[in-house]
Amino acid sequence: MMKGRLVPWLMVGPAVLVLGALFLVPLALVLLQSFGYQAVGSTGLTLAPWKSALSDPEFMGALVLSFRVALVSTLLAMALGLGLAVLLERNAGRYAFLTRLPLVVPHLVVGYLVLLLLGRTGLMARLGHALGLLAAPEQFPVLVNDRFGWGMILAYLWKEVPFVALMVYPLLGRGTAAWRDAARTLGATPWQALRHVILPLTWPAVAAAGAIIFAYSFGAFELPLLLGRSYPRALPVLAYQRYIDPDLGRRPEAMAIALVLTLAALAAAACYLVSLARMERALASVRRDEHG
Amino acid sequence: MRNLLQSSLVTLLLLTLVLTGCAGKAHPPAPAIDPAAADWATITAAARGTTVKFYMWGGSDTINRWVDGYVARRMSELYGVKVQRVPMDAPDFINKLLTEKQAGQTAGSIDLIWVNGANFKTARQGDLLWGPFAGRLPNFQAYVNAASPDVVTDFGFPVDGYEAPWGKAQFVMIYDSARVPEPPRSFAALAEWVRQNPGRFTYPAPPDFTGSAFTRMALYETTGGFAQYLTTYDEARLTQRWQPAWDLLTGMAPHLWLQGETYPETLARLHQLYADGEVWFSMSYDPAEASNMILKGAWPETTRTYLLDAGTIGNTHFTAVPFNAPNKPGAMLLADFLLSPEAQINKQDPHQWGDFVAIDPQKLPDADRQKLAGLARGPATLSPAELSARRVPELAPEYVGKLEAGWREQVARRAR
Repeated sequence: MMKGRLVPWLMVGPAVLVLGALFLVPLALVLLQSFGYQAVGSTGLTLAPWKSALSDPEFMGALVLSFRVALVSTLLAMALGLGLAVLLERNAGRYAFLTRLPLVVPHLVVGYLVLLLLGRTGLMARLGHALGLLAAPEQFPVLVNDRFGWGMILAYLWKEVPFVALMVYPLLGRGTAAWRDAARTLGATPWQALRHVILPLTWPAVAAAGAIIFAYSFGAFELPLLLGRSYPRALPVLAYQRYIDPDLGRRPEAMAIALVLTLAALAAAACYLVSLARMERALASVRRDEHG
Repeated sequence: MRNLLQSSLVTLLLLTLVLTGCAGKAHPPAPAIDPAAADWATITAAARGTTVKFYMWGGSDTINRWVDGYVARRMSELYGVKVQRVPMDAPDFINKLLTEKQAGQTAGSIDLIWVNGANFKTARQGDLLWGPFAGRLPNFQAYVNAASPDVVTDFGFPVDGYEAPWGKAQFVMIYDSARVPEPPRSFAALAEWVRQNPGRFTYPAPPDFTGSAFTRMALYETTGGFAQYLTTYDEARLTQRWQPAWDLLTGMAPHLWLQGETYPETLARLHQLYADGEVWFSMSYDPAEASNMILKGAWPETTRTYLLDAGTIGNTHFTAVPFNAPNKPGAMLLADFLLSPEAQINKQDPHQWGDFVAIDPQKLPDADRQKLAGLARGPATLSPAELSARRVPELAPEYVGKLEAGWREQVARRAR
């Protein structure tokens, strides 16, 4: 009897321990510190760091920039990734390994690649000049450190499109193909087949991948630092600068900004969990059809 | 049952990991002396056979090579001490120390740090440094002019023996003499030059250390000199007077690299733009850096440095010992060696590093003084006399921070 009750606790023990020690406790500390707990020159808990962080005019700009880059990267990656998966399925996955390559390249390296390739004196600009397409390398469009954030978006796409494809590809097995073929036989155009058969069946995977990409790109530091602009800086860069500010009194502001990032990540995680549940159902139904 | 066993094992393993992780790594036994009271012979003896972990900014190959090569070799030959350089930006290791302080960690991992200015002040305010120790170093007693203002204070903040001087640096402008025959020697002239040569100049975005110094000199020139700011911090004094500096910098912005819509985030990035010929100027807080870049073949032979007519900012850089340094005797020994005539003269050699001495040449024996005077300078390095004739002081760290925030609001934001 005693043993029976103990077993579930022991089973979840490792997960609870890791989650608690490495995630929940630090998160609680960050929350406390964002209200001035243990801060230099602090006299107790106060709302001041939040007020100061959120009223900084750069904060709004940073929020808009981070949100825009994350959203555009996510939507484009979802669309292109689905397209890539469909292409791969058509070609029976012969070149699938090529599309997996970007998955193992770190974001930092991708950032440098974008800088070297697409910078104003980068490889593309010099090539364009050498081929006579540009009168001077400086005429190359500003794609890195640009106002909209295209440099960051391109870097994320290069990394995340294969990731979406990887998530979607398993759902494009025989079951989905059979349904698509059935639709085509009944007179659907390729577009209609995509819209009414493939998209509904793969949507959970696409959405789950999108939620992961959004949470990551909203909170990532390295690409905005490399490919962003001096003003406004992306939220994670802003948080880091507050954290290392020689004025230690600004540390709580870094914690407040970090919590804003955490909230966005949690929202994305909620989307992810919902999509995941749907994906499992979709996979189950596809498998049923494959075996049935 | 097997599942139960497995998960218990995993739990146990994780517990062990977490607990040992919290307990920290095992440290070599601390030398059984009191480094705050021991005499120098005792300290030297206690340091023998130990390793000193020297945390320092690692962005310069030249400096890294000097520490890993010459310093490590001589420390081993003279004292049997191993020097381990750990590259880390000053704000990062100050934060590390602060976190250790908050966590009550009395046995740290850093023995000596390379620090000055705002970071030193932060460290002192957070009570992160051990000392005072500088006055106990034999080479400090023998060769440093302890009354000199740039040894007594650091960015206007009292040193009080918690830092030992290591070297002196001064801001220089860098240009390619093949492209710019006569460089502009004031901010007014520079503003005119960028109008005529759009896209060929920019500066690192503050809070980059060098870019921040650049904006301070713009403040000096446009608001009537530095003397008015050599006070304890007075925010109104700065914000009521700084407008001309922002007008000048925003006026320049549309003619800068990328139309001033953005700025290089780091000095390294600006150096890269200069090496690529994208811009024709760079800048450095290290007067010998341009020569080193030429010697390395990274920059054109025609690269030269110059000073502004109104002077450029100079400062002293220091070493300090953290409150929880595990090897304080070794740290003191290294700080002392770095101040020795041998190391100071070697450091000023442009083929080694080219950083200026922190000791007073007048206190050196004749032979050493001649050796110092006879050192070759690199092709682009100005003479110590030229530099010291146009050397202006740094501001209190609060002014620096306020000015950096002001630049963001007034210049970067407006240029958007």
